[in-house]
Amino acid sequence: MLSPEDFTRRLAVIEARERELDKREKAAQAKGLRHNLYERVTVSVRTLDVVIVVCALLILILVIAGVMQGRSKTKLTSGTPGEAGFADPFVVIAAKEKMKEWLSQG
Amino acid sequence: MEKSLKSTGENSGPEETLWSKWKEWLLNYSLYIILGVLVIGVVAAEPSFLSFSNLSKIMAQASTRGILALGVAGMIVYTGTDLSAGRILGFCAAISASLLQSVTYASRMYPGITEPLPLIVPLLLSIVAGMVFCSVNAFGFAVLRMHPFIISLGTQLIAYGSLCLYIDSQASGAQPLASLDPRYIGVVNGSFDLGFMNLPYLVVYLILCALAMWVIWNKTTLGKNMFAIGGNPEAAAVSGVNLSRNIFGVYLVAGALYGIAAFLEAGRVQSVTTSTGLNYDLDAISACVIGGVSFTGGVGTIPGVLIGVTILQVINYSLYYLGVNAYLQYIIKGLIIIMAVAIDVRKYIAKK
Repeated sequence: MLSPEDFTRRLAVIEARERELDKREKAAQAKGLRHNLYERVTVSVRTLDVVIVVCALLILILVIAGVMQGRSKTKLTSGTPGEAGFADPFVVIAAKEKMKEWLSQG
Repeated sequence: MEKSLKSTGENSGPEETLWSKWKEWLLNYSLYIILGVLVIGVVAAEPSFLSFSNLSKIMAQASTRGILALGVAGMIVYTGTDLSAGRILGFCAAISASLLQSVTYASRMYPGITEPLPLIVPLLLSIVAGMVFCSVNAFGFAVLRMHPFIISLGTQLIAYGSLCLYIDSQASGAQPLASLDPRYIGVVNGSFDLGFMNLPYLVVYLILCALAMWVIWNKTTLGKNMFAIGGNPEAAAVSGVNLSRNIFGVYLVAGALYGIAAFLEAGRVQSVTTSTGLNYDLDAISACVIGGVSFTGGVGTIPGVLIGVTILQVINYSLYYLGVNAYLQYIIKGLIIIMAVAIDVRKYIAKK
């Protein structure tokens, strides 16, 4: 339990510190400095919505494009006469082996 | 959220309010929706994707990056970041691997070591090395008041240079540190047989580190102070929190985690080169952002970090599984990070 004198002394120290911090913060604000990275964000919510939607659409388009590209490459390289559109089982096995190797290596 | 709706003036009628609510929900969870679609696509193409063995493989691969992310997350809670994590991991991994090369391997780095060292020695040295590098970062951030981005960029280069010099100092030249002690590989790459699946030791190490970090974040003064400082440094300082001491504490814990991750990574890959750890820091930061650790500071959870790490690994795995071009994968991952940050900023503005 703190004695009244100790309490007053501590309170004075904290108040002094608080005043100093206030002064420092005001000085920082005057200079335009901020602790928080996002304090400088001036874009509107609507702009951020557009960024999110555009990113989402781009991701989906790129994934679909990537899958299509991968498949067309597989067809071109592994298609066998009479089995158009089906991947060569040996190529599939090789791809799975590659996958296993990748898994073990990270 | 309501504030933002009011400010955009979109809640004039009940139908519009419902639509606005839906729009908010869709935007806030858009990342998870995309990932869900991605996983459904992979499962449709290959149903075995959802098997326990696949899950354990994904988690085993994510484990070292997960431990790294647990360390980086603390710094992000302080509104900071750490760009040096990957290179520090590389340097610490080189220390572990060099001391644990097989004693029968003729080109080992330390021919003087004729008896296998106890595993704890390289692990401790790796942890100490990680802590030394992190204390440099902490000194720059807490004492010199440098931006963590800049100080960690400097440390990244120092760690990379040290790694290259260390690997280059071998008698046989700059060759990968390989042929590791079988005991070491067994301790890192082994697994528990649970009957329906094998639980890799790496996953167990990740869970143990996550539990320890959960206790530090939620049950210790250091953790409470960390959130207080991240949320409002002035208020924390006025309340009597010692900023420098707490920043050092969090950085040293992160350094210890980097050391553990490095020890495990060297054993997992079984070879350490100058490129070990490359871009791991970016993966760790991405995982934190995806997992909801906010760059606004003072916000983040350990389960969130683990979810972020798992999601990132599932993305890697899914894109590879779907046969998406490797270069395209970088672009997709970059877009995912931009999207995660945009969602985070949006939430912050709405809260303001």
